[in-house]
Amino acid sequence: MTHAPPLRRRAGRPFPVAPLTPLASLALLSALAAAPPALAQAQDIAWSGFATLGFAQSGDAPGRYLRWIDSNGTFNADSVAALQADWRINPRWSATVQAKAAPSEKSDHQWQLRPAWAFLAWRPDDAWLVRAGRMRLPLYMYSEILDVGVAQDMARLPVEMYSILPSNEYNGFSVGHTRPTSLLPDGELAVEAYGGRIGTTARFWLRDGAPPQVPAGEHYVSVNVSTFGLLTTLRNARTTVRLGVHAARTARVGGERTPVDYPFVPIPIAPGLGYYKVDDAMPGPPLESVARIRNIITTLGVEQQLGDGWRVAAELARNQQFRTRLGSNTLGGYATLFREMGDFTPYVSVGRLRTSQPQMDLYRRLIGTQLPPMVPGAAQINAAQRVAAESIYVANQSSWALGMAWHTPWGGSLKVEHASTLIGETTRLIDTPPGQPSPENQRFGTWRLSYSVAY
Amino acid sequence: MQRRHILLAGAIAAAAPWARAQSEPALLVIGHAGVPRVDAATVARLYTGRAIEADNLPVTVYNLAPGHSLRNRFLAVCLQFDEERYRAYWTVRRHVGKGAPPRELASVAQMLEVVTRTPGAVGYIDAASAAGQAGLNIISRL
Repeated sequence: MTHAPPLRRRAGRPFPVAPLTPLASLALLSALAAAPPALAQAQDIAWSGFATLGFAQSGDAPGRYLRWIDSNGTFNADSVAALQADWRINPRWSATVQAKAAPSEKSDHQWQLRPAWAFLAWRPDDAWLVRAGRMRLPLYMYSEILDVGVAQDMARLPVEMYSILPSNEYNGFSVGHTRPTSLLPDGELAVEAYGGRIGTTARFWLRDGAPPQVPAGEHYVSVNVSTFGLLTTLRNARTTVRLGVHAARTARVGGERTPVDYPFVPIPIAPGLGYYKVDDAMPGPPLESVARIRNIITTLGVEQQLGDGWRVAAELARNQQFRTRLGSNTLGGYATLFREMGDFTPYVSVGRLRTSQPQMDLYRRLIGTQLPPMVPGAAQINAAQRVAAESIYVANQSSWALGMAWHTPWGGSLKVEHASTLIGETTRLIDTPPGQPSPENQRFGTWRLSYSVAY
Repeated sequence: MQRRHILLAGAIAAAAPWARAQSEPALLVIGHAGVPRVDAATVARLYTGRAIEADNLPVTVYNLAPGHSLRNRFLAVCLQFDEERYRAYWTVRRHVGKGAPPRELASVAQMLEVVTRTPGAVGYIDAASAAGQAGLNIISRL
């Protein structure tokens, strides 16, 4: 995967990120929203905002799902609030800033208020749009409205597709060109090229850890991702087709290198026994490592109005990993069928995420290779192998979901969804409790209820 | 005979919306002096943020405030949107970083004043409001 890191200013210092409680975040955004009228008159600034309060619960998940979802339920998985200011400098130039309050990438117990957007836009003419600053990474078909609950009908965009990166913002530039096309009736063709850097935090869950050096539980690794990509969107009122190719180079913050592979080390005095060297401190040949790993992510998305209120949306993402056998190498996607009936839009969705065979093989070997207790240091070696396996980011799961959005008469969207997820061999999206067996071939359900507004 | 009556009634019913539309004063899209004439499709693109130019001249479009009957007519005639759909369109567009909706003015009188005094301004009024307004630059009729 392209483990992503904390966003950085040009000078290399991290953006100030304040840990907040959900209540404090919402209060701060409300205070900001109360200030604008005078400013808007003076500077021609248009203010807007959106928020979702979402509750998710799973009574039978074999561990916390998506960081927070368990039998107690959580507001963290789906809740978000943001305030946006658009400064219309003149018809060609504008500036946009969006402050977003959402659960922290670096902690399961805190919220952050951070700038999600901060860019300057220039339209030299009707066809071209040039932007520079912090923007949403255009990885998915619905990337730009990922947080805007009222803008789409699903209670949550399918995790089998929308979990490639832990962060969806980047600092960089974007150049887009839109022109009419005859490929679709009244159609337009948009091409966008972008490049920049992502600073984010990759979260790993270590079931048992390797005490005392590595405690069990969640771990956060800060990474820097350099990314660039090209996407093409063909659309008209009924159809949207989007193809994107994205390249990413990921390096750990602090210069720590990423192993290319873990060599197997046989124990000479015990034929048939051995272990995988997962750390330089373990005996065996030196670990080959690289400063950066590389990913190519290819995405395809389609949305089609079928008539009589029926609509279908589908996306597919192939995430190819290069330079290492560790990390994410996946194929994921979903298809959703909607039926608009007045203010109600029920939908049914299926999604699937699979890790490629080489990564799964390595995961199996690391988990399955257990030294017997009579070997000196066996417990530490076994634990270290498991930690290494859990850092590979394997995911093997499929889901179906049945849900409905209600566009309420008072303006917001109320959504309810039940999803049933089948874990295959394993999935990194479940936090297995310490000492419990890793979930395998197990099905569990998730309920979501959310209310979204925008103004 | 009965069949002819049914056909006639059907024809009248089908023509009724057209007849209603004809009874309402035309919508006029007006521009500051020097803004060139544009077609209805360009007006639609300007009010949906997909265009910023009228014949290569950058323009700033103005809308009437939500709830104004003329705004509702304009959205229906020019964009085939109702208020809810227009707001939903801009909710998405502004939050995908593609700009903000047109500035809003409270009344037709204010629209006339702002368009007259602001270079590059574009707005709309109905034909009745245009009566007696000398030197209006009408850039499109809807």
